[in-house]
Amino acid sequence: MPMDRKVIASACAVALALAAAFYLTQRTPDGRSTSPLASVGIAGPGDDPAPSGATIAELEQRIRVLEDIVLARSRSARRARPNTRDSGTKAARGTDLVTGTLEAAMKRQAEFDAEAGARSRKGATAETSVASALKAVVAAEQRYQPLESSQPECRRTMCKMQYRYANRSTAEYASTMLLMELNRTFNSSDVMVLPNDDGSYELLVYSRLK
Amino acid sequence: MYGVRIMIFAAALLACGSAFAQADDKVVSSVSCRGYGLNTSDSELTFQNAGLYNPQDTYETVICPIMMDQEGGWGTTVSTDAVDIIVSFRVGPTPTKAGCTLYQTSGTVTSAIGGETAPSNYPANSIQEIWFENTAITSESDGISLVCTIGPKVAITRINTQEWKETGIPAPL
Repeated sequence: MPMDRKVIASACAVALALAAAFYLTQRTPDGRSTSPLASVGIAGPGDDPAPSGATIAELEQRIRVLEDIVLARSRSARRARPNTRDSGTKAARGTDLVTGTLEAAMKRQAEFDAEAGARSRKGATAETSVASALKAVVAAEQRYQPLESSQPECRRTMCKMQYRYANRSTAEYASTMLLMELNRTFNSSDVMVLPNDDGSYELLVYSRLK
Repeated sequence: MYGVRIMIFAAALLACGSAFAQADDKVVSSVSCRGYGLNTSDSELTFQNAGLYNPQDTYETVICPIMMDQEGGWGTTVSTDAVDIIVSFRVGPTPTKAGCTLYQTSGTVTSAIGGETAPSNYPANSIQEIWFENTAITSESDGISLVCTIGPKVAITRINTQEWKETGIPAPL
């Protein structure tokens, strides 16, 4: 098996060398071989050397032309970079937003359930903070009053909040205001909005305690 | 002549030392923020040369863009895949609160990260900052925005993203 690999590697090396030689050597109409670098006055293999009497200004001009070519190639290489992402998967993920959100919510709920029966003192304090934060939010803007709300539940490291709103944007705005009030209680939060069958939206927030 | 050499050497040492200091600090003017939510519209805010100002006697909420390099590995002092974000603001003639939450949306889940804020009102006529330290933002497809609530007569002056690591592809020769 290692011998096979050596043979394959040798064949690849020969093929690459041939390809490089083909690329670097082009034929002119008069049959003379030339390199692409010759256009800027740099001698390639088989080219006539640059005239020895070239002035510094001429050489600088050639360097500038060469820089432009390198820059252009680098740009075109970046543009031509193949998109290795799986576009089919991306599109499916984008169109099926509700399923994706539901799966994410179930994952967070499983994490939350794993802490069942493990409410810390910090968690108990956080439950009170959430209740008073919601009151503050509603006092500031009456339209953030949820249609229905569950009691916030906190466990060892996580808290769960669940509220029902008439539309998605109100749910998202309300969550923004609520989390702003709770910046000192939670380290980070995951916010999900899911549609209900009756046209309303469920706001689910899973937060990690500081 | 000898003294000049010593000075050049010292300057070179200083330059080497600064290579490990903050590598890239981007600033976004707060006038790029806009009113957000049901209780704030752009017409309730004032967009001034110095930044966005809340002339109302109520708390107002704004959403702001975050400018940062696309590639990962920005690096903070403690994390290689994170940036520090700092929101600067000026408190008006009365003590008040301000708070910001950074939102990152990855796939279908939006994660909210609260900024470090004072537990009570900020003093009147003071310059304050809200920090998001070592905020990990690793995927180039993540959505990102900043939502801030500011008290009466508060102005957000600017938003910084501080990257502690050299980023960006060097320009070709």
